[in-house]
Amino acid sequence: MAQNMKIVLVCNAGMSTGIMKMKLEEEAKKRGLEAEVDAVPMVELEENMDGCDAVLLGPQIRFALDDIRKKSGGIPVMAIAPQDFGMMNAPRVMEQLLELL
Amino acid sequence: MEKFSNFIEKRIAPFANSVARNKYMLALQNAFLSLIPFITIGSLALVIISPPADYANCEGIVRSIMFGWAKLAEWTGPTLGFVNMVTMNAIALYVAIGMGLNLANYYKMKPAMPMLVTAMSFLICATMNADGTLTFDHLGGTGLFTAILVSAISFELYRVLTEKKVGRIDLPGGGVPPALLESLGNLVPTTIVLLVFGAVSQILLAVAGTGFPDLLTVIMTPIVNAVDSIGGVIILAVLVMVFWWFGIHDAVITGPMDAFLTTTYTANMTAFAAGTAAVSLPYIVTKPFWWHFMTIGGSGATLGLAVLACMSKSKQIKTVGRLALVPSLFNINEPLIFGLPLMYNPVMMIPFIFVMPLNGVITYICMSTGIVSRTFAYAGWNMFCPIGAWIDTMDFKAFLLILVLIVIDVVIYFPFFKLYEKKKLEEEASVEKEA
Repeated sequence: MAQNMKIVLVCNAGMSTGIMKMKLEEEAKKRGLEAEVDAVPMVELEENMDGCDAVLLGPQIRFALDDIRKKSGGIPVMAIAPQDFGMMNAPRVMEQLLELL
Repeated sequence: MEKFSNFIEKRIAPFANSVARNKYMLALQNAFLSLIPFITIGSLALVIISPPADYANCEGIVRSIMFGWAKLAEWTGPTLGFVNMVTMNAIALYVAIGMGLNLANYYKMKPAMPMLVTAMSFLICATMNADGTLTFDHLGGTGLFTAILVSAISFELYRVLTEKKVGRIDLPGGGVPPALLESLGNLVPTTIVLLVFGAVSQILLAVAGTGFPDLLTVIMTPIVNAVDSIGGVIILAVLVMVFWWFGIHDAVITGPMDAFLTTTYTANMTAFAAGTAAVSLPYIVTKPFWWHFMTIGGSGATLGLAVLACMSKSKQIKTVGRLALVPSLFNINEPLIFGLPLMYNPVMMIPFIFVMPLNGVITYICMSTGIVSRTFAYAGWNMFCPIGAWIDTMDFKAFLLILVLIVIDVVIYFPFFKLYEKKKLEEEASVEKEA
């Protein structure tokens, strides 16, 4: 895994994922990892996907998972579980993310 | 329940994906996204130059404020009037440019040419009168449907022609600047697209005596009117909330709806700028109507619910409530939807789905009877709703209406919330016992 992770978080408007972004960055810091997390709206995903290590979807757009996977060109894509997203459970999401990478 | 949700995921997901990730929908949504700051500036400019009351009819402190406001309007009017005009009265043109840009990005094409092609095709279709004169009336809201349709078709035509290298001019030698290669090299496709739209427009003007914008307005009016009605509000809001109950984003409905709500909103703004009183503007259901009067605290009108959750005795509900409260003020409620959760929650289903349509119905009645002014400005969907609604209408009664709606919403949510809380408390108690 790259020293400096670049993670793209997507939801429809990039708003609610903004909260998750802060929590994930905190969590990464706690674990001594360097992570850059971007929260982007779905319409801007394509232009932000290049060069990132993983794409995480908010549960509200999990319907786009297969489609985005097809277009991600091998970048791992994961939908955050509804409960983890709702409780903003960054440690759980980070664990799953590290497994994914 | 498991089976049911699996069924929904399998059935709804592909449909939601095909609508929400449709390339035209993405291009349109992205175009609107870039326009948000301009729409905000344009509508605030209009608010500033429109004092809500004539100071001559006011008394005391209100009179002083209105007098000052009138002076401010007088002083800033010429400048801000321009700002409002170029941002709002040419919005369809910007949508055409944005669609060209975003569709080009979607196909990883260089955007300069496609943007110009869609913008010019739109101008051809929107500015010509039957008698050969030019009109600029349809560059704003009334040209929105034309902009969307013409941009999509002209872009596709241009894309297919360039991909097939129709009439591709290859400039010899290695010293040709790349920008020139792109523009001059695609001279023939560009010409074909513009000629096609010119010819079709001309034929339409000759045969029907009217251009694209008027024709599309005639075709779309029944749908616009259906959206702008109590029935339309109820159906759309219930559909949106059913999607959210399944935890699926409402873009499937609100994405296409945005074109309609922007049309009604810009029509109101134009009418207001032309001097129509805010209580008798042409439309009730607009973008600000939906995002400030209905979705108070987020989809499902959960602002009051977030407060209830904060005060809960259940650990989980309280945690979610604290997490959700501040985002709720800015109409973001995903923590509640996924954390409480409201999604797939049978106890909360009834209020979650029906409170928002109810807000719509109450507001519709208040606006159609003239109790509360109709919307002509839009403070953006992240604005705290009572303030947002106030700015949208410049009517203090709108502010009060939102407060009343919040109370009504809480009252409806309350018994269901208590029932759910009781269930959660029992769960938490039994977990504790085991531990």
